[in-house]
Amino acid sequence: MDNMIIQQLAELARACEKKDIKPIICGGLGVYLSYCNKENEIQNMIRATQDIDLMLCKEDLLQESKRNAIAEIITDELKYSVQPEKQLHGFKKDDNMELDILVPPIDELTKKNYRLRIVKSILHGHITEEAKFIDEDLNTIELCNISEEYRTSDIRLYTPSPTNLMIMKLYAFNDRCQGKRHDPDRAMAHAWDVYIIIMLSDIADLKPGQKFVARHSESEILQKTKNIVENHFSKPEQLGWQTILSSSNFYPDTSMQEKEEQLYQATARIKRWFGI
Amino acid sequence: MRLTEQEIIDKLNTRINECLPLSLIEAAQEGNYNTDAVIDFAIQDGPRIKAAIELLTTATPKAIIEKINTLKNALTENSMQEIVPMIVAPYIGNKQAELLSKNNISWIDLSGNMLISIPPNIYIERTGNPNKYPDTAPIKKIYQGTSSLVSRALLLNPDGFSSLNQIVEFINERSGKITTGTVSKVLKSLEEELLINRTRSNILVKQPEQLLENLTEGYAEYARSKKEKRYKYEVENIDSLCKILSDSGIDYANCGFYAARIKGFGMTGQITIFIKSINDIINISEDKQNLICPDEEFGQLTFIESKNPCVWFNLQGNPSDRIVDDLELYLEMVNDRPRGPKIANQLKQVILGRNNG
Repeated sequence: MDNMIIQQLAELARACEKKDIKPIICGGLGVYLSYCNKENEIQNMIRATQDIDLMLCKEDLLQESKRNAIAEIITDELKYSVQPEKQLHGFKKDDNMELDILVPPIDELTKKNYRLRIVKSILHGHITEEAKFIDEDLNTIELCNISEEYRTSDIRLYTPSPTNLMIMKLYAFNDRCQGKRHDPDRAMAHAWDVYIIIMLSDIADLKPGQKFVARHSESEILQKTKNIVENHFSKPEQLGWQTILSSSNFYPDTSMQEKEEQLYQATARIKRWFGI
Repeated sequence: MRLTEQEIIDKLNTRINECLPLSLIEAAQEGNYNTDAVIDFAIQDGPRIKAAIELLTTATPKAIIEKINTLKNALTENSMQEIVPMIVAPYIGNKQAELLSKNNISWIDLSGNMLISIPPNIYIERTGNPNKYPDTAPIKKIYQGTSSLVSRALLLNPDGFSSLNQIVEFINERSGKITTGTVSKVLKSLEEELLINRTRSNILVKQPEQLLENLTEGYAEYARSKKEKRYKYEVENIDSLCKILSDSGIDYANCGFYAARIKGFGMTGQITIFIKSINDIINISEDKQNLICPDEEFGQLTFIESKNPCVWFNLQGNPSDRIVDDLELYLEMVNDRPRGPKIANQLKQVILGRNNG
């Protein structure tokens, strides 16, 4: 992973810690942070990514003082400036350091279209409906375990649980695989991350994952997630897995039969995870 | 069936123009040059050439060297001005072609390959055609299964062996099961390949790197064809499991990346173990459900059912921590892409380090 992005993460995590705010890193970087220390060949397949998707948790967002603190950190302390096309939820600094602010759905705060107003005219968050249960089973990441440069530091941040990471990636794939927002490259990246998450999660992740699924089995989020799995990832020949199979980076030195065996395993795993 | 010398001559007579850009004018098994045959042929749209031929039914490196010497003895420098020294065989492999080239001997094979070099004006090279006479290849499969244990033993013991029986003992003492006949056959073949030096009192590897490469090719071919059954389990404590396997007298060997991790060559969260029969494990898992249970999707422990004798040869470690030896692990790693070859490279240094003193 690029040193620049680790530094960017470190300064963000430090600033959040001072204000007692939980920075939850989602997206491709969240996948990287969650699984980069896994020791098998799939670990080498984790995508490199250059932007930070920062999810704020409901508990922090419900406190006005913390909402103000977040806005201050981003715009004053860390000197991010808003990206005009992203309407106060997308920021940038030094030309190539991007930061997107995501939030779970919160009824208590003002919404405008798909945005949640964190601090009026300063900071909004992109509402991510599927992140409704994001606070549950958070994964703690110590930066000292990620980067040699920070081996003596105690900087800490968070990533969603494997189930929440998968739910977000499944929704994102579903959004991009067809229809008006069809984008084959993005669909491929999301399907790829689904593969990484399901193959790098182990039995210790599965057990709390199954409890999570059981706990929320009646929720719309889990119902829709299961539908996406059933429609795109419950057989190796379905669109989700086939999107990955078409990538030249997917086990480039192996035969088609070996690639398909990998997908069979991924299929069996994801079906068991979501009880399908 | 291997071709006889007469059959090689017959095929030259009848089919040479089908597979090579040559037209045969005359081939005779008699001549004034004390070689197997003399042929008179013409290169298409080119000159006519007379060649003194040595025939080879099987072109092993050793046989090639012998024929090179025969040709050099049969032809004086003067006679080489009027006749081209040449070897004809059903098939001539790359290594053998290289030997001939170094000795300025032209060659043609019945598979459609040739190199004719008559300085300063004629140089024709045509290679890449596969062997149409696979039965004429040197004895195959000496780098797979029980036969491969001979090469493994030779690499393990760079000081060499004083006798064939010593090799048999060396292998059988290390859980291999091999007979004198098999060792003798393999040694003969290795000698033909110029991979070992064999005197009355010593049998020694001459080309350890090449021998290792041949073992690697043999293993890869075996790995492609084998269908070993794999079973995934969830295990609570691997040390306790290995102790139970050991106490119960069940043959097992840690292998793959897990073995590499134990040997200090890499890291992995996955465990792989060779076993002879999954029934042994089923019995244990029924008795010790808290320790081990089947989990095809998420199990971190994979049992590989293997009866391949090489796996069980020269196991390392103590009884409660059995592990495949460096050579077996090297062969596994070479074929386990993408991460394995890096570890294989490190193991290769260790294996060849022993052989290079």
